[in-house]
Amino acid sequence: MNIKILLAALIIGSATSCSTAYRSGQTPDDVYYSPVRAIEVSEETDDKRDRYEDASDRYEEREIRMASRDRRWRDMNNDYDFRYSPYLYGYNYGYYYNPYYYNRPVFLPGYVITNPKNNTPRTTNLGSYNNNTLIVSNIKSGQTQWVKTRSSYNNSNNNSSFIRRIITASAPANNNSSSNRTRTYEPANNNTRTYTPSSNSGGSSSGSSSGGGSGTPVSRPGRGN
Amino acid sequence: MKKYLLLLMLCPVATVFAQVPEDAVRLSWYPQNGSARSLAIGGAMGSLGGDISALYVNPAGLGFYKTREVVFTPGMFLNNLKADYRGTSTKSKENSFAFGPSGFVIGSPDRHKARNSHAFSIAISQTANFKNVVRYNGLNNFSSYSEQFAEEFAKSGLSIDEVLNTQSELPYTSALALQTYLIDTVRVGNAVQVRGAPENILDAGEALQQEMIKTTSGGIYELAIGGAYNKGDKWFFGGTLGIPFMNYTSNTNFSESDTSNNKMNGFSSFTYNDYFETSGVGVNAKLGVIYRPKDYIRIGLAVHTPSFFFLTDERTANLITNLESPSGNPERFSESSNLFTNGQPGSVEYHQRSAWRAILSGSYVFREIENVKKQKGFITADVEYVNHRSGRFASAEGTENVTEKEKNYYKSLNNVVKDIYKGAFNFRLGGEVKFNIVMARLGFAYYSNPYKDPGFKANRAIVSGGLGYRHKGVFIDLTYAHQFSNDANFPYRLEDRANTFATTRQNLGNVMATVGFKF
Repeated sequence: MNIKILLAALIIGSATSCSTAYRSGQTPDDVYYSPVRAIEVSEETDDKRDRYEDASDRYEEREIRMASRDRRWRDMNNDYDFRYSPYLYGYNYGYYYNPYYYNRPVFLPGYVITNPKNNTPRTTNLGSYNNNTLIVSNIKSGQTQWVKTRSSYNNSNNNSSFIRRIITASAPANNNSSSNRTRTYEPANNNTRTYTPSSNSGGSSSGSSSGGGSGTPVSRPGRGN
Repeated sequence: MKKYLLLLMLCPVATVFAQVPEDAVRLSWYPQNGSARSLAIGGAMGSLGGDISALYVNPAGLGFYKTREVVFTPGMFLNNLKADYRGTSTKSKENSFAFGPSGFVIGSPDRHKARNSHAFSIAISQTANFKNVVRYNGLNNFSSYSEQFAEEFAKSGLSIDEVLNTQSELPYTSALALQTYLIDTVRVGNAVQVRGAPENILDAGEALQQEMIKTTSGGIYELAIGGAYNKGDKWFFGGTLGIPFMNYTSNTNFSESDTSNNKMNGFSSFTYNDYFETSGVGVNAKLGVIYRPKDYIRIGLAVHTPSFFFLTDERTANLITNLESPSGNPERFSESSNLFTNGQPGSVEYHQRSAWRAILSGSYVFREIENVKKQKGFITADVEYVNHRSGRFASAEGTENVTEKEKNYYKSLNNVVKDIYKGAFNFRLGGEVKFNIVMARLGFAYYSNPYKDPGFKANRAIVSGGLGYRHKGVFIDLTYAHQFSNDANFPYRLEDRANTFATTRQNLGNVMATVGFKF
């Protein structure tokens, strides 16, 4: 916020200081008509040119003076072959010949070793953008079918044309043996979310620690009964 | 001027290309910003010229300048949003600062031909504002937020142990859901299926109470450098090189709870928080021409290339799940995605290409004469075509380093963008009446539906009005624009059943002021 205020003040300040051109007379409106400003070549412009030329001369003199004291300044005029310069510390022959060169940094201030970042893209299930909707195709028989459509949405809690799934049994029953956390759920439904991992590294298990992938395995917390 | 155009043509435009389809339309479906004068006339600046906004719409309009000016445009958004989700309405409010084009224009007449001139301009402007809060809640007896995790995990082909590790492939979603037992594997007959705990409630015929709060902030801030050439006050040619800086922050909180009194159904509630920040820089170009067949009439054409963005995402997610054990005891599990991303937020670099657009425009200016007292006003209109389906994404990894899986994901993502979005026409209309040093303006703009699916009623309509004052080398413009927009917001998407979404109606007030100085 402070930067915005400062920027605003700077722009308005600089603008105010140079907005004297139209203090009197009409202020042009460029949408309608933009008048040509008179191009003036004043004595002031000539003075500026003179001042620039003087400055160039002074720069050249200073360069000559510096070159007489230190040979590195002579390179500026190409009158010295820099390839043989003793000031190049062997860089022109490659780092190998440079006694001061070490091929890795000895000390880098502020350098902190960090873990590699996880660079998984922010993905989504792209199949969900082309809906497969389960609809009742025959009300009498209760027959259902998957329909690929983009325009079928369920935005009401009272919509009987959509069914969530066919439930033929009671509520979930759990198999809670301590060695196997996989629960048994009996309803015959149309869920397509089958667990079929390509590797054989196990199903649901609390406290599991045999991980896959390139990272370190993470254990799931245990569950109560 | 020729040098400027040549430079613009030679500017390197890399072949560059987020992550989910909604990211594409975010960079193309937003109203045009501009100076207060431009906003007051609906943003119709495609052929008018003589305003710094031309730099962002049709740079040929800079060619009308033979004078110099410096401009500063601060503003404010007053946002009110109403969302309807499954029969329940919720309101939210969020205000934010804004700014339009701020910079300078230098117009100079040709030394040899009095009717020719050229102009140069540099400005910075917020071209898109992402500040918003979308909040809604309602009962849902059909689907659960957790099912997207179950679906994702089942389709991944990964085992639980493969997902649960410090370099997880699904660290922000399925890993969290598995770690906190929001989803788990369940034996159904002879098959093992993946299932969300809230599905117990739905299968029992009960409903879930859902609430979504999505807070976004940031915007696109474009630095534009442009030039224009006026040939005989008949033809005006212009180009702009734009360097857009993008910053987008999204913080989503979604909660779901059991509405039944059954303490033995295995699920009580969960709260999921997803935070990500996208930032980066891009490059684009705008080219335009304005023809003035006779005094008072102006016809303009402009083409905007896509913006080619180099972006970085940083993401963290958290999940708190409250379950009921088989004996009915409450169980609470809480985890952060940092556990699955090596103890730090995950980060990914990618390329995104926004949509291209073209603008055709016409203006009628009453009394184009130097005497300000005799200038009467103008009317102007733009028709704009935006190809929303042309947004593209690609990995920032080199072709050698990108994995086949990543390559396929971006390819599918681009296909989905082509499939669900379409090209759309936008319309802008405005006018001004001038009374010597005071001006009054009115405008209207309509941005049509970018979605191909007719089920979504999305559009934006903006009505605007403003006043201007121009005297003694200073000009001040004040504008109020009110935007009415309709959109659809999906809390989550499922592949194997009908989706649900909220319809949002936004009332966005925009107050802008432009202060300028002629020098």
